[in-house]
Amino acid sequence: MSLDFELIHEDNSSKTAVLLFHGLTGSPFELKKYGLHLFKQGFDVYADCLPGHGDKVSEIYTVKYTDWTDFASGKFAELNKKYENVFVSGLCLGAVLALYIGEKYKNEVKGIISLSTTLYLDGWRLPFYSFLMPLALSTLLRFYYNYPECEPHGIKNEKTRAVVKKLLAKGDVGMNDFPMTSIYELLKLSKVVIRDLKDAVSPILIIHSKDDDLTSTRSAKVVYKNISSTDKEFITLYDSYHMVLYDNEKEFVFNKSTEFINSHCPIKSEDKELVCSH
Amino acid sequence: MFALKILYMLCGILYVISVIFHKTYFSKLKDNVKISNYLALVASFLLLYILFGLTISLFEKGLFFRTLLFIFSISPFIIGKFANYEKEKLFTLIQFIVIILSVTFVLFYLVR
Repeated sequence: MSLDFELIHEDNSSKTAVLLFHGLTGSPFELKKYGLHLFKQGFDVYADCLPGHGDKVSEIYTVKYTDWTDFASGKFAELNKKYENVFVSGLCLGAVLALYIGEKYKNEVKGIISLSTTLYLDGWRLPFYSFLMPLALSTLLRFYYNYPECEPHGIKNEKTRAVVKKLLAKGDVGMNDFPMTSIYELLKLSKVVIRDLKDAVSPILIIHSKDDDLTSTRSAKVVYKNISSTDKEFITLYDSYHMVLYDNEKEFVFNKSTEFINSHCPIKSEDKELVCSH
Repeated sequence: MFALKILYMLCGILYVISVIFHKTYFSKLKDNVKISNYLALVASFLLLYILFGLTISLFEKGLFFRTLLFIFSISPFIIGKFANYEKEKLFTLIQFIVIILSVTFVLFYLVR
């Protein structure tokens, strides 16, 4: 079952595309509402399943971070040929990939929206023995262990959490746990991204929850502090956990993202009319 | 130093046994949280094995003994660096052999 989606205006009215990347062990499903919101604002939206996250669950164990970066680069290059403006955005691993694209295509990327950036795994949900994680990641233990997806599933809103829990049980929205091999690859990618942050010059909007259960605000702060972009904004959320696109402040995140894109490539008034009639 | 050597050997043996137990029993459980807690225990054995080994190699006399013990102690990282998912069983076997060799080596020096 493919969860990829492309929301393209039939009349080719949009000159702006937003490329979205989902999180680790997630799927484009988690970006659907966000994508639809951006589409309604007049942007074409693209979200594909990252390598290792497709139908074959076993692929997540063998995927390398370079598979993700190659895939993201290819997708961005393809869109960059078709559109005047291409923005990149993502959640969790997706945010790290968006930053990677921002560093690699520093002159082409119009803007980066980085949501719950996961450069470090240091959220409050992690068990007391998480100090053993570096050891487990550097040794054979990473092949023996899957970090379990557990309460609160990155969501503060209890109703949404219950729905996501049901969907997770069915296996409809992502995997039930994080294989350590994929965390190992994510952290390798994070190291590369942190090293090259000075290369990224595109405008950036960083949104991170203060109570993120998976990764603390340290990741967002590192990005904000070290990125070369002069046009940068860091917003802290106070009523959400990791999955900011599904939590209590999702509307705020949607609106801020639209505001950010519009302020860096405003849609002309006639285009807006087109969007409404569409 | 004698106690450290005993602890080093004990942690190595416990690590090997606990990994075998994980592979034959724990990994088949449905409860991921239980598996997670158990593997934290396995990781603790490995951590202690490495730490005791490095401590002994720092304070022990004899360059040959110290060097070899140092290599044994950092072997989990070396093996981990080269391991991949497809050949995980082979690398696990190599790790077991290295740990058993290191325990035999320390035991040999202890009774000599």
